[in-house]
Amino acid sequence: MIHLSHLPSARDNEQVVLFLRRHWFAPFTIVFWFVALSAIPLLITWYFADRVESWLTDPFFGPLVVVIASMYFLSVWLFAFMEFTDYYLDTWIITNERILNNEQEGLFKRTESELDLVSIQDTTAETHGFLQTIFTFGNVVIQTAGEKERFVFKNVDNPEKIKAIIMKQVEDKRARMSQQKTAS
Amino acid sequence: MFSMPQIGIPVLIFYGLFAIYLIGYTLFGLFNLLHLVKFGVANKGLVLVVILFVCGSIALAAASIFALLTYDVSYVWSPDASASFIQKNVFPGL
Repeated sequence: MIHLSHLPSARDNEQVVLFLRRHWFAPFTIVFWFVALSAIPLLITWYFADRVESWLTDPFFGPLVVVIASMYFLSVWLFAFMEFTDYYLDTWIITNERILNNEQEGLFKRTESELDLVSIQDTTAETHGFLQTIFTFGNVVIQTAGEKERFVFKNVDNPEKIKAIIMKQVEDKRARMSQQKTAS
Repeated sequence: MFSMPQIGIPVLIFYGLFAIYLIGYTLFGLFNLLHLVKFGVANKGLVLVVILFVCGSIALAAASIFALLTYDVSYVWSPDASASFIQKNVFPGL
C-alpha cells in the first residue's frame, strides 16, 4: 500500500505537491455502464413479468434462469469493480523532487516509473474534443532529456493548471540546485 | 414414427456449473482486492471500496444461492415432461 507521507525511496525534505488521478468522467463512465447493464435486463424482466414468472416456477427452467441471471449480475459487478480498480490504481504523484507514475493496465500489467524534475525539458497540456473541452480534462505530456522521451498523465483534471504547477516545481528545484552549487 | 429420445438432464448440473463459476469469481475478486490493497493509496476511500465490493458480492451470491435452494435439486428433466411447458412458454405461437 502506498502512503503519501512515506513515499517509496523518499528523498530528504521531499514533499507531495500534487496527487492526481484521472478526471471524474472515468469513474462516471464505469457507473453509467454498470447501471445500464444492470437495469436493461431488469426492465425486460419487468416488461415480461408474467412469462418470467411461469419460467421461474418450472422445476427445470426455473433454476436455469436463476443460474444464468446470477452469473450475469455477478459478472457485471465484478467487471465494474475491475474497471474501477484500473482507474483507482492509475496515479501520478508530483513532489518537489520528482514525479511518480503508477499505471495499471488490466489485472496483469502494471508500470511504475519515476522522473527527476531536473530532467524535464518541456511540458504540454492537451485538450482534445467536445467532452474534454466541456469538462476541462485532458493529457499532460512531459518531455524529458533522458531515454524515455515522453511521460503522459492521461485524462487528468485541469491540465493547464497541472502543467503550470510542474513547471514551477522544475524552476524551484533548478534554483535550489544552483544555490547548493554556489554555496559549495 | 418419430419418438423423443429418452434422455434426462439432472438439474444438479446447473448447480455444479454455478459452483465452478463462483470459485472463478472468488479467485478473480480476491486477486483484484490484492491489487487494490497492495498498490492502492492508503485512505478511507480504499477501505470503503473494498467493503462495498465484498458486501455486494456476498449479497449477490447469497441471493442467488437462496433462490436456487427453493428448487428440487434431484429433479431430472426429460423432453416429454417439459413438452407442454415448452409449447406453452417457449414457443407460444406454435
